[in-house]
Amino acid sequence: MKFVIRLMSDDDRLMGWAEVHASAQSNTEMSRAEFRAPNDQTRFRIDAPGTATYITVHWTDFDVRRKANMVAALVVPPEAVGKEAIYAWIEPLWCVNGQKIDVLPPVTVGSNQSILVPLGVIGAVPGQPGG
Amino acid sequence: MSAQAWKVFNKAKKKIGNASLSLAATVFRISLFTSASNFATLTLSTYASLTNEVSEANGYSSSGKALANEAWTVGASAKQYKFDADDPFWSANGGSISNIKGAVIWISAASANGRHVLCTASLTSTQFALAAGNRLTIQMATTGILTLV
Repeated sequence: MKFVIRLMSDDDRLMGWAEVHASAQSNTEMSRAEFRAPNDQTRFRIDAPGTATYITVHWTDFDVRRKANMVAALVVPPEAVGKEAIYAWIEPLWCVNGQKIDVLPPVTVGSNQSILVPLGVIGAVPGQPGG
Repeated sequence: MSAQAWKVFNKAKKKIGNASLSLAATVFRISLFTSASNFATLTLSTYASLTNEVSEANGYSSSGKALANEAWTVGASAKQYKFDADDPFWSANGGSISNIKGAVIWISAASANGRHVLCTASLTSTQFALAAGNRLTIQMATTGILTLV
């Protein structure tokens, strides 16, 4: 999924933005799916100086947005324009909440099923198949 | 429904190594298990330690099904050999085969202690019941059940 992240100033000006592609990871214990930025970081090119106080997350596929206040304001001087800033996420870009349901009855399939089970391996170091 | 790859039980590796589990055998069986089963626990040793097999009814036998034509042939490359067998299938007759989630391949033996489990796979993310009149086929990959690399 595509998210556009905007670095915003305390007077609601755009200071920089970045495009992030994230896929959902299931958090079964919390009964939710979480979209996380790769490496939980986003790199911005600073377009304007100011005091960054919040970030907006725009999930462009569905055109929904949210605002995330920064833990601490970031003062960006004019000489930093054009340089790169890295924002470290302490939360997912987006969470899709479900409900914890202990009982999920099996579904009934009314057609022939052919389930392909992928090959297993004996004797390979994980990630380093031999042969 | 997407299945996960076959995973070899931990102790099966030891048993293959010390020849107490022979992959040259042709008496392997495959059994189906429910989501309540421990079939994905890789520390299991024998068939008897498995819990919650699919109930015997409507075309499913509780001892599973014999694999046919087990064989070792050359794999994806000349350096690899694969263990393979024909695709087993079950037909639901007179009712549903219920609560299908995973499968285990094990070796048949007269003694319970000799019924070693070889490998396990989750067949589906969602447990399902196969309605009467339909067939479930476990399709082994063209590259085999297991490959020795």
